[in-house]
Amino acid sequence: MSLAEKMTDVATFLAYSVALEEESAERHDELADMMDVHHNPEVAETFRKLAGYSRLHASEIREHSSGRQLPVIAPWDFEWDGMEGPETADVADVSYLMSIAHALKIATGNERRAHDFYHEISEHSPDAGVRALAAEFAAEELEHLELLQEWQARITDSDDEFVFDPDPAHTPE
Amino acid sequence: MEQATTAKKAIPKDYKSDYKPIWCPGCGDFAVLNAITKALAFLALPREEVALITGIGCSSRIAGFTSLYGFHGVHGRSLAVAAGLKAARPELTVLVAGGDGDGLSIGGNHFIHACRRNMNLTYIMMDNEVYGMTKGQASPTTAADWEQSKLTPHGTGIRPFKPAGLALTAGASFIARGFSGDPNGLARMLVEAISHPGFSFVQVLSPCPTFCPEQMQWKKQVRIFEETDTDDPILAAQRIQADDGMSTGIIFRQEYAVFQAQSTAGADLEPIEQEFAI
Amino acid sequence: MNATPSCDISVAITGSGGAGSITAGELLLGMAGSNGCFGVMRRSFGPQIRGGEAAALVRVQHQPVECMNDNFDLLLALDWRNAERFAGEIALRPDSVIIADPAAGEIPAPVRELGVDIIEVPMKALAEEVEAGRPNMVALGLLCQWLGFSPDEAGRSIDQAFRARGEVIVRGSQAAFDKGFTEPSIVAARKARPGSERQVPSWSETRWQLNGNEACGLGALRGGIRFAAAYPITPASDLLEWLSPRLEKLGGQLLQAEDELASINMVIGASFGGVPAMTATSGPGLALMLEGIGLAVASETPAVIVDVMRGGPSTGLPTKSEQTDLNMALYGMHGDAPHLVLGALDHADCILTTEWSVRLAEALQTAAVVLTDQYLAQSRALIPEPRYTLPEIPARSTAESAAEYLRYADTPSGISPMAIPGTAECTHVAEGLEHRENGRPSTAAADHARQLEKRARKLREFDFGEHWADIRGDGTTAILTWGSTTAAVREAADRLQDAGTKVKVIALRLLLPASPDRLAETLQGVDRVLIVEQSHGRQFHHYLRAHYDIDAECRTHARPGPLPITPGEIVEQFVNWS
Repeated sequence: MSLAEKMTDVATFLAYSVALEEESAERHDELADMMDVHHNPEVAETFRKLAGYSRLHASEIREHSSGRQLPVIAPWDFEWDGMEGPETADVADVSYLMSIAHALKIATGNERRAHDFYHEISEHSPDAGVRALAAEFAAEELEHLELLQEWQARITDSDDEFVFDPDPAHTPE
Repeated sequence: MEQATTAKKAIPKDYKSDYKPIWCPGCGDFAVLNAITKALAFLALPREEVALITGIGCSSRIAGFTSLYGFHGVHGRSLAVAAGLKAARPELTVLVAGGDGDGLSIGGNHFIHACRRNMNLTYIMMDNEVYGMTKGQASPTTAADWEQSKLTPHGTGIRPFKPAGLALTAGASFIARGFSGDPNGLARMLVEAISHPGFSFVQVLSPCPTFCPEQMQWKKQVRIFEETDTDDPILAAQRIQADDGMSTGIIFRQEYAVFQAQSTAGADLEPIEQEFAI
Repeated sequence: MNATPSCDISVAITGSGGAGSITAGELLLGMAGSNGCFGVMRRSFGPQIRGGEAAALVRVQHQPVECMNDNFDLLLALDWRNAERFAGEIALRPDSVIIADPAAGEIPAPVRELGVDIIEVPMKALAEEVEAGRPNMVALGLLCQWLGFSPDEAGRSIDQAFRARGEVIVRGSQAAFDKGFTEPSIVAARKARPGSERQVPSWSETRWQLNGNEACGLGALRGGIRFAAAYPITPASDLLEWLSPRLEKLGGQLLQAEDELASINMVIGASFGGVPAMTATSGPGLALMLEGIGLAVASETPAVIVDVMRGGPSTGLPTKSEQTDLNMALYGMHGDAPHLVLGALDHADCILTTEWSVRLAEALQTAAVVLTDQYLAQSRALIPEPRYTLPEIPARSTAESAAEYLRYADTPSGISPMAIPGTAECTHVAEGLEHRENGRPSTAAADHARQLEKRARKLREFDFGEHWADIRGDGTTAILTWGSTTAAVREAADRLQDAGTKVKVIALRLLLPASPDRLAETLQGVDRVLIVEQSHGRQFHHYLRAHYDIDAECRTHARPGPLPITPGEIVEQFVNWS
């Protein structure tokens, strides 16, 4: 049985949604910190913005759940498709030499996956309330995706191979 | 395993310091930091009662990025520092972390003895099959034909250790392998490892994007062990030997006598002084 | 207190193949103790683990004594197998005496050629006259007669020594002892010697029996050590073995390590946890520990390392004494790593110096290397009950919960309050990397300068008080030494004094930090200085030249191990020196 088919109550669905956004936000912040430390301020700022959006979404979802007691689910008990939440950027995909274009490419991938996650639930959850909410969230993800695509259109740097760093690696210790 | 309930719910951020990690973006160690802090939050351990002892290497910098009591010692000796601390302060939760070079080369002797001694410690080995900090030499877990090191340009020609196999033979009572691409799964593993009474060894496949860019493919190669953990060392040995080293999960778990340094309630010095008098 | 020369007797007992010469020597020392005497016993062995040739070397006096004499008054040979091994260590005078068993074979030519009196006693035959009698117990009886001891305590000592082996052995040993004690040839020989009336010493205060390793252990416990890491090495293993059950009784622990690298790091771990911690080793082990000691210095973690020096370099002479780890203790760490180095001067001083070292290491949050040597560590001595007072030294400076805690805060004294795990809000990372005041790693010049200066200042500004050296006597002649040669130097000074030369004996106890001002003050009015050390490479001499200005005329008597430096050879140095 897929996760969508098992998603039978709104509280659990909201718990998943909050976790999805918070994990995404934390990861974006982490990536922003990485970029800060490695002196790539534009991409750092990009990730911070993305973190901000995820955090905003998380707090909106929390508002949806006001009055409800959400179940406490251990981080490893979430049955995501992959190893982490669908909107969580993969640390393996980044480089200190990356450009804003790279960052946005990662972000749009995340948004697509988040959309697909909600969409699946909106189609296959046995609970009407869940399906409705999921459809709403899926639609919002599409909006976010569009915003990101507009942002992508505005930037001029490329998402081709990472620019190379002529300096060799250095031994700090 | 129980999630602790406290008045104020501990969150992973409580266990992080404000020191931003200096690891290269893409490094697997970020996930280990996440997983450790998630595990500690789950267990709701007061951070001043947790110690994190590290050696030397990129991964050993992890202590500075936490807000625990850390000790950043010298290369390869973290397990010894941890043993002394745990013997003197058995009530603390003592974690040890470092890399494959720190733990299996210079630290190799301390590793096998720590496995055998079975003190209640958790040892997290971030394995990227290279000496990252010193710019890319082969480590004891590097493939024999890896030719990217200037020290061993033809490859080492030496078969690498299987860290889990070494731990098993040396007598470790909890052996697990995690992957930095699965920080949540790793967090769960760490909760089990920390809760396990005895020496817990958690090898974490943690790629190095700078010196081993090919390791960024690990996420496509890693899988979860089909079997759940066993308490039978022979079965565990077979699984480890049959595996290509890319399967994750808790492999072996057994309860052996936990080493505790002998100590009785404090008498005083007077009777000892008296021993000398004629 | 009677102090006649005939009350100073040095006896050597040699034997092989399980003859029990060491047991006899130990019991003899015990008998000296119960007869109100002072004394010291050291041992010498062949390379076998058991059954090799062995010599017990005992000196007994009615007043405190801690060094071996220049030569021996009596050699008792249970047999002559491989006895030439000890030829260098057992010097005899023309008027010395040898007691030998004719059944033990021909006396080797070199011994016969000494021309000393030989008293033949059929110890083996006498032993065989009683059930379970053994020649070494006959020998013990002979020696007690020779030394004028009362036999009253002998029965009890023998019972204690052999109780575990059963009644038959105990009774047999006591009977063999009696045979020796009443042996007519010895009774007669003793009566024929001058000053043979049994002197009753009048020392009324308590005496102790101990060896230097035990004394260091006691000093450590007095200082507050409650954790020890242990890796066996000759001649330090018995210090750790002595500590193990006693630490446990006091609520502490001993952890056996897999190697010396683990030992020093375990010490650091326990100390980081707030428990005063130590280990003990010898030269090869100290060499392995150097990196760890440097970590203790850089991370400002108190640590005490007792180094029981033995013959070097490398594997060297593991069962012999030497004073050649000084260079390593002083200069072995890489980087500028100010720390403490102290050396115990005699058996009782092992207690004082170790206790002092622990308290200093704790107060100054640094590493203290305490140097003793195989001679002090493994020779047993009968000494007056040690009494000393140390200055008040603050305990480790701790930190209470505080926001903005700075582990390496640059205080005026250089000592930063040290928060131990469990203290809320003071979490930090103790660092081997150079660091800022908050412990974060740093390569900045200002941070390195600050921390280097801080770690140096905390030692430089500390007032170590009077115990930096032990100074006795006065005069324009001084003898400057350190460690176990002190006892021989003191005796040499007494002899020189008796012959009309006043001598000031200066024995350095605190080696690092050096005390140049104090030594300069002590040497005021001194115009010649003899430096005495047990080292081929003159390590102490070089140390003095590096850290002190000595205006007086200096000579150095430096001899390596394995033979102890004797009072006589020190006195010799002044023969052609006006």
